[in-house]
Amino acid sequence: MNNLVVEAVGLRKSFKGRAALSGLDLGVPAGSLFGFLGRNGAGKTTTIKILMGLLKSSSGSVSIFGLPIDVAGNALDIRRRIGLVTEDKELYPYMTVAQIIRFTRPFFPKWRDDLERRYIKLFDLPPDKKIPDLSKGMRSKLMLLLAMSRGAELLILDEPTDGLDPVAVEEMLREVIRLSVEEGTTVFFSSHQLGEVEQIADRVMIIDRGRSIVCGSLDDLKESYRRLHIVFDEDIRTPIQWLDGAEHVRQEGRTVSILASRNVGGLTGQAQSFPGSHVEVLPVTLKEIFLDHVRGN
Amino acid sequence: MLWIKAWLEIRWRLAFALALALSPLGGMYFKGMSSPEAVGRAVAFAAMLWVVTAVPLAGSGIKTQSPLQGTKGLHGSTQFTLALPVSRFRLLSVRAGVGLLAMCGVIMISGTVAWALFPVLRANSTLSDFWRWIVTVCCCAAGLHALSILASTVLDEYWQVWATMITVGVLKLLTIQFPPPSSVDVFRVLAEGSPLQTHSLPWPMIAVSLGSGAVAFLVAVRVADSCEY
Repeated sequence: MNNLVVEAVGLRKSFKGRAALSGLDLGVPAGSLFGFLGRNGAGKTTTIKILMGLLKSSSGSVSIFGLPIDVAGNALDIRRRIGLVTEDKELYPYMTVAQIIRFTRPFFPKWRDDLERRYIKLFDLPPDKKIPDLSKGMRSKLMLLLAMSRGAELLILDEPTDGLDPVAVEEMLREVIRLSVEEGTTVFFSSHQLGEVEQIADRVMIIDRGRSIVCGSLDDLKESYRRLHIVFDEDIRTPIQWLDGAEHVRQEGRTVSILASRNVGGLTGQAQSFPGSHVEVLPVTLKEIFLDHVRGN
Repeated sequence: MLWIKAWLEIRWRLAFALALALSPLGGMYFKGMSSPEAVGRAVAFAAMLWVVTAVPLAGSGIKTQSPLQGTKGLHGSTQFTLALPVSRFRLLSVRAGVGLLAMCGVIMISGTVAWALFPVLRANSTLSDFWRWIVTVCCCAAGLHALSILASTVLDEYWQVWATMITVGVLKLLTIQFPPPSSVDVFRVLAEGSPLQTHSLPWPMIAVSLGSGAVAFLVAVRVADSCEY
């Protein structure tokens, strides 16, 4: 796909012999709201650290804004165009809210004073309060302000809603969507919160054990994936060889549940061909797709 | 803006370093010390202490940004810092530069206080000798400061101080065991070989101290560049 803001090919990274990334391919189109999903330890934060130059990949290549990150001189230009919310939400404990804003602003030539004022008001941030005196939620909000006021072309958000109350989560998601729609900012959103990702993302990638297991447009995924719920009149004694498209099959007594990624018609026909079967075809949520894939993997 | 960050990180250390540097002078003054030999020995000890203040004034490394987090082994705001569009070389240089200025400030203030409090120092030395002495002590401290910067790139700040001080102790033992030429003996130029006595700058020692400091700093930059966080 052309016009990729982030492009990683065959990314590998090991820590003390244990693979964190095992040939990850990643493509984030410009202007997209890209949901990056995975379990704890799946490799999400490692990927983000590699994108930001905090870690070096063992092999593979990464380009951001078309610039290879391992070429000297590119790193600073790339970081100038990125807003990052880190997973730990740690900021300098010896600074106040106003001080860290004043500290961060000069590093980013496209800093948006209007957005800074907007977020101070929206997030109700007390300028004179020291960072250790802020709650985790307030620190998350401050970090969002520091990332989203940069005038960044790419926003990398690692668990951005961590510590936020439901109202603040809604405000934050609305702002992320607004930045994407009105400013054309590409958003790379890594989260465990599948509901939040489903609410805002237009593309998603699910990674597990350091490799991509599902990737695509969220609408296409939800359109192509279906759950087939089949109930038989009697217990099934022999295993059934299901047609192509059956991603994961769970069989309990007289009930079979199939997550189908394609060929839903064919699978439905196959299920109906068994005597005494009752087939129901249901839409699936992102959570179901996620759980089925990571459990199956 | 990085200098503000560096300043906020070391301002309390600076206050501590200044108190530490001035404390022997206060003791000497209130004891009424006046004999040239006693003052000379005590000022030499004080100068050694001023050099040691270079260790905490090197600040903590990229990994450990605050004392409490450092001792807990947490990495604090490392990710935020490294996500700024700033090279690691610049991060290290600004921190080293601010620490160096603070260290020179401590030495200059302490030296001036000593010069003002003890007339015996002025009896056999000129103002030029005083400046030569301050420059010499600053150069000695600069080498140690760079060593501490290097230690901070690989160790947390608790071990940074210990590792640097142990290195200094080992160097002192080595100079006792294998005495170097007196012109490059750092410990000697702070005591009996000080410019207050010799009335000249110890150029070989200055070259050795600044040279080894530069090497330590360059190694620190290489280490910081190759580190993963």
